[in-house]
Amino acid sequence: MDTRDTILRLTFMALVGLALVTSALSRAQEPVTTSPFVVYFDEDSLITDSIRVDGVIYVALVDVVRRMALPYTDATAAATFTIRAPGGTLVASRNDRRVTIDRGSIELSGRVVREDGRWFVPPDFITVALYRVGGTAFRYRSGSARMIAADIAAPEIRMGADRTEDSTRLTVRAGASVNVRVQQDPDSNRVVLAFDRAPLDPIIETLDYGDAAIRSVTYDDADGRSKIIVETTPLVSSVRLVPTDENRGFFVDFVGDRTDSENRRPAPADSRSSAGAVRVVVVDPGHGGLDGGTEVQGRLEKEITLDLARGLRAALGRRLDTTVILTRDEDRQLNGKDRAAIANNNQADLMISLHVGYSADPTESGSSLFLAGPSRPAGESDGETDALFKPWFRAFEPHAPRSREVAERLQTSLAGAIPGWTFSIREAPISALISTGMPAVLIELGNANNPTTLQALTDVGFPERLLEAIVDAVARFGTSTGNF
Amino acid sequence: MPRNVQIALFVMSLALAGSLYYFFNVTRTIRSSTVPEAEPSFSEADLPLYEPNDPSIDVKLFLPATSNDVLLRTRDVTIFATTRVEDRARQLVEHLIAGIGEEGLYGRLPEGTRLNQVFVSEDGTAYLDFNSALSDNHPGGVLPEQASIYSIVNSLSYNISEIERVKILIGGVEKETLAGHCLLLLPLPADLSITDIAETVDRG
Repeated sequence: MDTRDTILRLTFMALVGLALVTSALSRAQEPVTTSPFVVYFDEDSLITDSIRVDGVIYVALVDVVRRMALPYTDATAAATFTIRAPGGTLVASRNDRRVTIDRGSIELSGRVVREDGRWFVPPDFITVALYRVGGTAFRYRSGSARMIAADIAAPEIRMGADRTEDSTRLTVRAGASVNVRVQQDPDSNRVVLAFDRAPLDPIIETLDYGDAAIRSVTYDDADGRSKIIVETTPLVSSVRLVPTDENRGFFVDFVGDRTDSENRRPAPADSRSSAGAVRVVVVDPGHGGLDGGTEVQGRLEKEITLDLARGLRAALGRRLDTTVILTRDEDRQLNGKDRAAIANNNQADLMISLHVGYSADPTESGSSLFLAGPSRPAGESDGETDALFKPWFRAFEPHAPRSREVAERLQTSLAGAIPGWTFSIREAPISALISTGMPAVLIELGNANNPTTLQALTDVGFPERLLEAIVDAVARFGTSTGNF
Repeated sequence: MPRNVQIALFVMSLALAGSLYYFFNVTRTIRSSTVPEAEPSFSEADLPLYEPNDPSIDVKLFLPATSNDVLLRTRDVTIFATTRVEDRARQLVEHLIAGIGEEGLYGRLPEGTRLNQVFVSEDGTAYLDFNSALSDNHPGGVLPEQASIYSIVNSLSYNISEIERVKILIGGVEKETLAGHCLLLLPLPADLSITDIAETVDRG
């Protein structure tokens, strides 16, 4: 029995040992997956390799050291890498996060590794430790695959996307004037937006966005050339690039084949009139998601406002040559800041927010047109009126006169189209309007507690009259002589 | 069954039983060590809002009106001029919560509203922390929401000279709006343009 136990034990240990050795050998033989990493120097750029260690990007060290013309010793047996630079001697050891510089030492964010016979270091090895001895300062945005010498100007790039009536709009903003060229390859469903400048410094590498037209949006400069790669769906038939703000901003519209319902189909271009200065209108259906708003005969306000917003989008699209963007095209919750941001980011010329009113008094039937406010009395100043940057909650102030003009046009148009209804112009600190950088009005319809309002909201012809009156007001406002 | 297998099974059974005993014992220990949240022995709301010898003063309460023409109508009420400004503020809010049964006025905050805490900073900002009923039970609509907010803001900043503006908190934290419309993220100064009194009236 003892002998058999011993044999069994030894056999088990041998099997475990064999498994461990096999695992170690197979792991050692696995090729390390590398991806490009770009280091931008003053005169040129270096494209080297990087690997991921515990989710962090590591840079191939030797290529960088050679490019900087620093003498080094790669002591394989001792598993150390020594750089003898004018500023001191730097020694890094394999699997050690501490590097020594002359008599001092620096602790890095990760350990130095050696894979496939090559040294890979975390980015702070270059930005902190190598800077001490080499003298070249770099800046690195965490998670990116590029490092930029501190002397080089690299304009920031910001990306955003929104679904419009018949297309998806990608908004690209640059910190300086740049040129963009669109390269479309319909066979591969890929659109490349190539910049004429490198390096650029994208705030995010990949845009977290996807819809019927766009699958992914990624910034890429793996070959040293700055570009945004957009993977599209087969529905996209054309791409339209509109530069703005002296080439500091770009709208890229991905236009798809129309498969939506008839009411969303725009009229032929020749039947649509110009809305003058109103090129982009943002329509904001009130409430959404968990915030249902008030209740109107079993329907929540959020549903009514979404229906009206979709109808207004269709009506504006039929009659005016404008781009219409909804802050939400589904049942989702948005706060006021998000709603204003959609209007601001799309450089909207007008924002209209739609709500249904409520009063505890069932005899009250008046509607309201709200402006952000209250406006400060004339002459009142906090001494910051000449400041270049204004606080977010005062963004509406420069546009207050034009917002009032929109409200007055809406008041006239709506009162004429809907007999018996009154629309009072009021001011309130409306969260969706207060940080908008364009004329903005909130329309609050009737009183959900009033029989006349309830009947109107369920009347088949009411929405059409209402929406056409709003379109009339927008058209007149757009062709008025005011400047934005 | 071989003897060694029997012994192994016996040892494993013992280990399993021991593990189970340990697991349940630990669970029970954790449960018994969880102290239930004790009710506070008193809250600020239970403290007396005034002393018997405090003088009384007349103040204007701003109450939501039924007509949308004027959003807030004023009514005179009497409070005690306490030394603590927070106590004067609390008395005013208690009046707004109770309301005034008068035709033409919906003079009360939403059902179940309770004022948890009041704090007035040296710069004249009053921080009022309400329970969630003020938001949850609000009927909606911009005008009722504006009326609820400014009935509080105006009543406090008009009648209490130490208060310049009011910041409303819900459940101890900031809330963007009360019912999806009016911004609460900023301390609000009084807005008399939506009331039935002229802006030039001297503050009490």
